[in-house]
Amino acid sequence: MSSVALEIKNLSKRFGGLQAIDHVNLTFKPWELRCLIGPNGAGKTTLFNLITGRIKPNEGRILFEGKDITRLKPHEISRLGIARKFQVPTVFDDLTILENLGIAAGGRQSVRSIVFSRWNETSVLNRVREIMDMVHLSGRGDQLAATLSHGEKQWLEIGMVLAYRPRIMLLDEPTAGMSPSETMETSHIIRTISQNVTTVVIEHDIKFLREIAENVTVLHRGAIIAEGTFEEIENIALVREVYLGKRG
Amino acid sequence: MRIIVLVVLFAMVGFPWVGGDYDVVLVSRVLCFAILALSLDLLWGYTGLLSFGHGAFFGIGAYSLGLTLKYLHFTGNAYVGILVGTIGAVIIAVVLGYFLFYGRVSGIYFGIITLALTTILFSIVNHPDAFYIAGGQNGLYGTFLKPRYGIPGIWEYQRTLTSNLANYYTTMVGFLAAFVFCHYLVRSSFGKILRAIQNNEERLEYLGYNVANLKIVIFAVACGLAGFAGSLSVPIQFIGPTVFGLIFSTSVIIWVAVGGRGTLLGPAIGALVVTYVESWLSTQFASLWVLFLGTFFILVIVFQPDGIMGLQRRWRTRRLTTGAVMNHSILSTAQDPKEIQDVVRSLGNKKSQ
Repeated sequence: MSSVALEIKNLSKRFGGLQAIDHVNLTFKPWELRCLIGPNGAGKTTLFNLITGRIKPNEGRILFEGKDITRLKPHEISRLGIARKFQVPTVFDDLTILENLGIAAGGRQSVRSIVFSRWNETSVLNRVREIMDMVHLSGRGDQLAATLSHGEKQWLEIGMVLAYRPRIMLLDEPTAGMSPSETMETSHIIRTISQNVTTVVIEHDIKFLREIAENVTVLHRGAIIAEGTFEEIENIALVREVYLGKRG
Repeated sequence: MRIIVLVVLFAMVGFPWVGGDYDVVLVSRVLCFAILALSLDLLWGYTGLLSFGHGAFFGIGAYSLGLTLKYLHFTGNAYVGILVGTIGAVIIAVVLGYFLFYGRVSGIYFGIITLALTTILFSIVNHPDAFYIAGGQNGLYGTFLKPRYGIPGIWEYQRTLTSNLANYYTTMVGFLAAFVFCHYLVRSSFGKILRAIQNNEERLEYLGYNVANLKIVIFAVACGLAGFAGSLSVPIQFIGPTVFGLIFSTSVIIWVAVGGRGTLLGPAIGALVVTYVESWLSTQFASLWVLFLGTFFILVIVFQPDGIMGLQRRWRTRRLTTGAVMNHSILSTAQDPKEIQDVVRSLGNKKSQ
């Protein structure tokens, strides 16, 4: 494996007059756990959208394990092994937990094998069961996703990202709308699963960050203003001012 | 469950000996319509793609068989005609689907373009230059030999307008085949993925699925089925430009909506009920019946959007849901009142973002 999992080179994105991402350079090492923080509108989600191909940049390149993915379509980028969790929990409401995870596990099949195959083979099922244990949904495989609570949906979506066996996980606010105890639980889950996957997390919750953050990147008005461990970041005056300071 | 299936099958097989001629003809037609409604349901009920011009593919099937019978006289031409109708519909669906789904046309725009396709086909078959081929306003009525089914060259039977039993049983077999096909399709892994497309196609895309290709596949399958239904309807139904008309395509949507979309029995029941109500109303009220039918449809959409099948589902799940909602509410994980407050507050933040 190359020594760089994901490399962002001189990336820029404008929305009309707004410079959403301003010449950003970023490198993610394999198996790294990185938190992306910054005030609302800093460009965190936009960065995820650019990496996953939802929107295309005006300038710059994105390299995944040395391969240029800047102009690929979203499903092509996903197929390389980049999986994402959306900010608002996004699961398939009309399907059961087991089916949700099964679809995620079968994600890289060709259209032909989807049409002519069945995915509930034992290997897939075993993996899915394992994941259900991990995200605290064990024994509830036949429950419809629509009946889950907000926090449980977040967990299910994290489970789906995991079932996909990604090389890189992009988690957009995995603890949004969670109770403090659920937030703590989520930080444990993410710690466990990020051991052998490159993980990038967007978060607002300071408690969560303290718990989890090894490397933190601070984004402000589309540009990177600081990088370092959480303790280092906390002590930078500029960061306190634009981000942490507001929250006291 | 098995007993119900057997009873229904028995009733279907025995029906022609009980029902009058008029009813047998009507039910034969309903069976063709039911296949068409099923195929629209695969698109609309399961995948979330509402086609406003689904009648076009039924018409393609009907005209394909009709024209084959009119111009090509050889043993087994009826089968060739059905095949041409089905595969022709599939090919047109693939070509159209390629441009629509890779062009990210969705929602109402998908409906409008399928509607445009019907209108185009209507003008083609109605065009004066096509008169000698397609018969214009008169359609193909009385211009072709009757289709022969059975084993070509060895044992054949003919379907004509008056051979009620032959028509009934041929369409019945066709309907049952289509129903079983759809039954297995929606329960397969592909069927689950269709529901996932309806729920959230973006989520699916970010799990590596080529959603555009999957939509092309289901569009082609549904349109092929519609073409097949059209071919089966050939001697019972007048083949004319009306199959490409707006009213016919709208009727298909009404059948599915009244019966209940997202179920397989629903569209069939919807086709049966609406066709019967329609034929009854049209004998009672010479011209006002369309008005009543429209009112009926509006009432269904407003008061029973899940259709007839929704009544049954609602009755079955009423007892279960009230308890389940409480058990799995977000508050179930919070222990003390302060924590509940936190949850409520963070939910509030979520909304304001």
